[in-house]
Amino acid sequence: MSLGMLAAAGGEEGFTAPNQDIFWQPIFGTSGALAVTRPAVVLVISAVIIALVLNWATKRLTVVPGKRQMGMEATYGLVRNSIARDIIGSHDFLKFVPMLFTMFVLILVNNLFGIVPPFQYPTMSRIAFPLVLALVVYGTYHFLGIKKRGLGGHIGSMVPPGLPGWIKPLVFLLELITYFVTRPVTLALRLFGNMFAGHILLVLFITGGEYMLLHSGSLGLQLFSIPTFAMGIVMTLFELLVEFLQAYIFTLLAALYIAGSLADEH
Amino acid sequence: MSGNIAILGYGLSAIGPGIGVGLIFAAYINGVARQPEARGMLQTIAFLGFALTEALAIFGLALAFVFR
Amino acid sequence: MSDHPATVRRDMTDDGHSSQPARSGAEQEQERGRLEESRAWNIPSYLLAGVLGFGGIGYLIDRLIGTNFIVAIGIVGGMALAIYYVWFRYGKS
Repeated sequence: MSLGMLAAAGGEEGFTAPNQDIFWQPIFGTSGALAVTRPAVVLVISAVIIALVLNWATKRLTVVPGKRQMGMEATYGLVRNSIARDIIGSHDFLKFVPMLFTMFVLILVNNLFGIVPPFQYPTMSRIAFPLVLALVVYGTYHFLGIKKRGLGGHIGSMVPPGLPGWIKPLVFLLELITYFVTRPVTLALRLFGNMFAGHILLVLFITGGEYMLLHSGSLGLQLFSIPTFAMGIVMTLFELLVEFLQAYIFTLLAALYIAGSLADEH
Repeated sequence: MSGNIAILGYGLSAIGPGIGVGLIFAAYINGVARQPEARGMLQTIAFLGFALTEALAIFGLALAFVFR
Repeated sequence: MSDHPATVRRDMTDDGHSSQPARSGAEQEQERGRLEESRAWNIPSYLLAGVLGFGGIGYLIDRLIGTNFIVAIGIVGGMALAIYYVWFRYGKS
């Protein structure tokens, strides 16, 4: 908001800085929970694109990979080897590779849509989308823990052995809060916050530069719009890095939580 | 313009821990690059330093909620 | 999607039979290192749970009995507990 005030100080009638309202873009129906909004449409398009691209890239598989197969294998190998195998362990990671790969690709493509021109809306900047993904992870690791140890064993395994007796209830409470509240919330909020803030920053730089160039009417501000646009481009490249990194981190943490539920000793 | 000054305070309180966490992991990466076999020992120290530094940032977050 | 599982299957068989026993010690060392390092991501979760969880409990007690200092005890105590627990789990080697 302070940035908005700085930008608004330039013009006479004022520049309205972007706020969270720019994310509300209904397409069909404009009110209530039933409206079909732009992120929903973008998500569906992304799913179709992912399905088509994966089918196209794996159509004719050869032992010596061609160019498109190589690219696909690089993505798949990243998730399979450096996330799933290294974190979950080489014994039983293969079961989780499909889920982790789906999450990684879905988040990556949706994040990249934040800067790809016809879409330009990072789906994960609406809290519902990362929340659902986090709930999938949440359900998975609790289900795995309960399946492995039983309900009581799953809850009981949260307290590691070797603690002094009087501190055990406190640590149990701490672990309970961690497992049931903090983990899914931080998982969802990390992705949401990065996408939300990044998108709002990009919108601020681009619309601010456009306002200074076209509507401010003073030469100084028009000159100042050049570094603003340059900063917008730099931030776009930075966003590209952040988008990739957040998809990676989300998948990494999903694998880490699954590994924690599967581990033998805590 | 409206808002809450506590949020600004949280932003300020996050600067220091941010720099601190960066320094800790920079030193950790340096140490592991120079002496890969010391990884386990350095990791312990790095994690503890990270926890103590991160604690300050989380104090800032909690106090931003409390003194609203 | 399920029409084309060929890549997946090729990778799976190739890993399940040959490469798993053949993996070198250095690779397994690297795998262990990556797992250990990624555990650092758990630390903020514990600290947040300690501060916000115990602080929240303290806040509720405050609301219940009309005092205003238990929330501070909750925050500081929760943070101490979380740091102790992080030391216990990751700091003792």
